[in-house]
Amino acid sequence: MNDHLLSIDNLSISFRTYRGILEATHKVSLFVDAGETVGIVGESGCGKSVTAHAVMKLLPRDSAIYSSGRISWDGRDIISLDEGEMNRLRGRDMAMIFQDPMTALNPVLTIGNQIEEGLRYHAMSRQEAEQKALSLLQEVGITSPERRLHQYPHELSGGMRQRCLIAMALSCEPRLLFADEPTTALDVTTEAQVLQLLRTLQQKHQMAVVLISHNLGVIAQMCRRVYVMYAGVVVETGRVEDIFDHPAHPYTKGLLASLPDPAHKDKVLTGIAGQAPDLFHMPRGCRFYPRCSHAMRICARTVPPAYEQETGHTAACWLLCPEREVCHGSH
Amino acid sequence: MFLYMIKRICGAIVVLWAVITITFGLMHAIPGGPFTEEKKLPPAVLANIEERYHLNDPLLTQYGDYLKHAAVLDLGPSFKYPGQTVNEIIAESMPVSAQLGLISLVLALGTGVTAGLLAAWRKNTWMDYALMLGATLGVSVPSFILAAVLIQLFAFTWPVLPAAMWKGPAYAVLPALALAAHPTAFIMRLTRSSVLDALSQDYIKTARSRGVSTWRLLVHHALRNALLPVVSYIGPLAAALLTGSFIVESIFAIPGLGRHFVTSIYNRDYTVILGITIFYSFLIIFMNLIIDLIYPLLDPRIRLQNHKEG
Repeated sequence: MNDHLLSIDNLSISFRTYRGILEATHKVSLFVDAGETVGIVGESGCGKSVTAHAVMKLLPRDSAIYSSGRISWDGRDIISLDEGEMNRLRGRDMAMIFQDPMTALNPVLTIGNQIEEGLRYHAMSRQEAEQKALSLLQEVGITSPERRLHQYPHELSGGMRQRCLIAMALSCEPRLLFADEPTTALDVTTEAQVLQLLRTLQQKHQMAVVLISHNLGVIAQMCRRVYVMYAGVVVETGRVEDIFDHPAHPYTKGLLASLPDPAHKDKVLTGIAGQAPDLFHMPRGCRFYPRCSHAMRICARTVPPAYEQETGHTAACWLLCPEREVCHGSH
Repeated sequence: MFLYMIKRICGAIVVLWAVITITFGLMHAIPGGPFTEEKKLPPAVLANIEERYHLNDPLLTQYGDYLKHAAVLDLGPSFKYPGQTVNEIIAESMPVSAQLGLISLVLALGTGVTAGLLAAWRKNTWMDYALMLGATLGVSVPSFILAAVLIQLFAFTWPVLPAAMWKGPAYAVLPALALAAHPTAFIMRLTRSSVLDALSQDYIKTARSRGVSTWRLLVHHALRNALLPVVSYIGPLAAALLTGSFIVESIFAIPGLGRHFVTSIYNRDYTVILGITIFYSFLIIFMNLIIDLIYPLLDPRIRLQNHKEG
């Protein structure tokens, strides 16, 4: 099973807070193969970013706890690596682009400086690094790159900065790129351009991309497989077609139903009633049960296992239990 | 840039004029004068002296005369040190204070920034706690107590350093330490909190995601952003340190400018009071100008501009 590029098994991440220990993700399992684009979708606070940051070990060191599970990168256990070993992995093997290009660049260093430092860290001379930075900026479609190298982040627009961040992330040709809501802070036209750029680069460099988004449309456009997360757990996973054409989990169905449909403008938009649970007061059984319109007695008591629908398509919901008497009997 | 400098210089002149006026007013508001002694001088002699120093002119005339002289950098004769002008007094004692002040400034900056950075890096560890305990002590222990302790330890218990006077490099060690303690502690706390603030920013996470080493992260990414508040503090600090401290110079019997700040007021030595105040104000204004010129070098988002444009 370790032929995956990245595989996460039963990963639980907790944070020490002033209110006590808070579990942000619970037994998350996912894998990414070389060269494929995988989406993680879910609403704010569902643990999608935490999972990605956990893999790159970018969580705040004084409060984050890896409470259970394994992360294996190319067969290597990541959790046990120290900061120095991790630094050799970051940038070169895996990289990340962030949600807000306005704050993700250091305001007092030039663009060139910030791109080149990653390169210099991986043994490259000054001239080589500058040449490489120049070609990277060209590759991400930045006009007059020579000038941009010497400019500061505040002199560039949001879309331009996100392109610079992509150039930085790509600088050492990583095998896996985490894109953490890469277009959330951008306007719609820029969003389309950046997504197109990501797709082109992904194909050109044959790298794996993990796209984190709350936007189902973006996921549908970009990804081959998708993980749907809710309140710190993966509730459903499968190929994009499976998830979009025949979603199995009530939460996924709810998400899809809440998408506006331009063809039927008279249709009233349906949201999912209620709010995501407070991480301190997690339901004992299924985490979605308080908001679920199909809730049964067993949902309140026991966490549902993942039931396989088709190959690679699983959903964690008691409705899918094949032994109908056992699960549905106590309706 | 040229226009900016002209504006700043005009501003400085206005500020200096205000300082002179206020000091002049306050100085004459306190009872007594330079020649009020316990043993009263004969009225004829007093009148003679006052005539000589123009002290019997109307105040407004004295004020006007003073401004005229100050404009050509003539700060007048001292009333208490006959034969010495204020310019001479400053020229003579300033270098001593400036040397001591410069040593303290470098010491405070070097130690303060390094220790603050270390404390931020090792936040909530024994190193952080130990450094911050030291900083709290440094801020709260007055310099005269520290000076006394230093003299006791290094001049008497282990007689390795001279206790007082100003005769060579060894004589500078203890007063420089006593003078630097407070600003060191202050800079340390300032650096720590502002580095911590910088470390929590998104761009630090971005840099980490690129595999940037911890050292470079701290020095290149965090410290550079964190230095602005420290730099703002250096302006007034440098002016204060370079002009000497009354307390430290008195304790270590150092012939610096600091003691004149206080003794001139006791003596009602009008010209010295005014002269030193002007000199100190000038230094503060000058240092702040230098600091403002340094800002854009540290942070490219800051531009020296006129209010209209920026």
